[in-house]
Amino acid sequence: MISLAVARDLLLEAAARRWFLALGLALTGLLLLLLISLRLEVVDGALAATRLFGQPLHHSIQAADVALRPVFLVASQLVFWGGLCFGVLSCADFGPALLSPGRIEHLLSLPVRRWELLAGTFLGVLALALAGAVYASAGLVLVLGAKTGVWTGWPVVSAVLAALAFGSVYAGMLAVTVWVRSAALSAAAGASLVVLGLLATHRAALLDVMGPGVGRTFFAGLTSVVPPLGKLADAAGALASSAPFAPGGLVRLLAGTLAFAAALLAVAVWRFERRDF
Amino acid sequence: MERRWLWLLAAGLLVIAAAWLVRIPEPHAPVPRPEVEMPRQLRPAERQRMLSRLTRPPADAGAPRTEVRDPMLAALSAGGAGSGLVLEVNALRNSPLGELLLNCLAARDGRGNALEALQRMGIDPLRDVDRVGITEHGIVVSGDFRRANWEGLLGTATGAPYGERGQITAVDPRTDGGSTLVATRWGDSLLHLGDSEEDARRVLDAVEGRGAAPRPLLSPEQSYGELYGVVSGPDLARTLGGNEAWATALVETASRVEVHLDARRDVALVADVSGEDARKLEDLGKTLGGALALSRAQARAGGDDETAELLSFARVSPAQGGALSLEVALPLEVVARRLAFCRGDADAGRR
Repeated sequence: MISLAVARDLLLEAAARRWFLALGLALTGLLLLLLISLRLEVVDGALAATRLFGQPLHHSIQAADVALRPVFLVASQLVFWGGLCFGVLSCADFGPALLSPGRIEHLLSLPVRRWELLAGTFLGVLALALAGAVYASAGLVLVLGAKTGVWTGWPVVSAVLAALAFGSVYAGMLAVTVWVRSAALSAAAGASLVVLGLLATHRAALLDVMGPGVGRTFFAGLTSVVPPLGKLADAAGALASSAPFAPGGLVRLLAGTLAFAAALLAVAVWRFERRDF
Repeated sequence: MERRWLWLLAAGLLVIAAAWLVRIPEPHAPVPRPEVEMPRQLRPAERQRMLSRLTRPPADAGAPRTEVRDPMLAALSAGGAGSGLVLEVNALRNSPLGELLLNCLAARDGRGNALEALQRMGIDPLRDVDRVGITEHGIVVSGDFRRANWEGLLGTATGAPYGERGQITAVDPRTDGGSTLVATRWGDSLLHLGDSEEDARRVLDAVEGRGAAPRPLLSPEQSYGELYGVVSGPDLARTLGGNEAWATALVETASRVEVHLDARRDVALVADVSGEDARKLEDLGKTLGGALALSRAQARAGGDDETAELLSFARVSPAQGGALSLEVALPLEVVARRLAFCRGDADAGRR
């Protein structure tokens, strides 16, 4: 409960920041733009022709939900990778702010355990990422649903995946902050984890072109634990566009991503428990 | 234990769990590149084999020639051939690879017919044939043909005599078309199949040492491996195909490719490419190396693990003495897997 209170405080702090205000406004503006400018007369025309003549005039016309699959796919990738990049930049300062002189002493004087402080910060950021991703994807679903009559909840599920992927990146950023209180270093750690996640996605192909040696062993070890973010993005895209994918593999991938985030948080707590302020 | 160390312990366990959970399924473990001795020179057994094949040619118009020669290599050099390959049938037959190939032949319906037909004519290709050579001037087969039924094979038991031991027989084309086949026998140990009597006479002259000695295509010292030979740049370009620009560049760069294949157990292939321009050769080596790496990566990315595995067994060595070397080492297990389709295994080559 205390962690949730810390998370709520973080959300209030985020609401006061211009970064997130700008993100909210940008997303809203984009959705409104789509709402008023998306030309979907082809779908409307087909529906009208069906009503009038009993069949579409153009027999090769695609079903609206099939035609919209690429749109949902692109949107899911934008939410996933765009969300990761935006999250790394905009959330890099939360950890250092938590540990800033004066504030951390005040927080530690309260009846709150140290691990609860870190867990609360993490949950707050995760909630923030979830809110942003779900707002963008749900807005898109609403706009397209209103325009075409195609209603699907999968893009929202896909956005949840994107937020959880960002959770694993933010856990690394928080762990680095506990050692060195620097927003820049925190952002650099997040960016490095995103790159490592991409490399882990293509691990087998990259290992194949590497000669045996220390470098290859190091790369193999490092990329064996980092979640393959590209695979998660592919799964998110497949979910959003109703493409076939293996649910068992996704569950496992998701569990591994959460375990990785939990491991980094545990390391952060281990360091935080001993640190003097 | 202090409580904070429990966090570290938990982190360790979670990292292990994460590594297990996000583990990307690896394709089957790649077969390591075998440490095969590449065929680079005559081995003791091959030197013995080479020496036992050298014969002294008969006298040439009363002036006996002193040099010794390998009749097969002399026959291949006749006519100034620029390219020629020799397959050591007998040596290959007695190798594990030969066993696999024979099993393959035996298991395929109808493939044994050609072998059986030859056996009915008194030539057992698996026992009587020693080597088969091929150039642009025809095919040369060496072995023991004393039991051969020449009448059944060529339509006549004897041909027009030429030289000391030569006989030339023109075999008429079949009713369904084709050109006249000229079969040239040299005693009971060499058979040349070509398409002109001029070539036949050149072969017999070269084998018996008459006239000016032709420029040797292969020296006896180059007769190592179970398959060996040389291919000229233009012939290589024709064989490989490709566009005009590629063929021109290849001909300008590689004047000659010497090939040796060792199949005593694992299969080792060496192709030494020589040329006049060392810089162009170096570029060719880099091009080949890059193409191999790219093809391997593309095959892996495309999920074609079989091709990727095969390509990983090849490498291009830097130029040595103005030549570059392409080496391929295939483990016998991989070759056996490729030939598993002969056993009717539906999954052949997929593992």
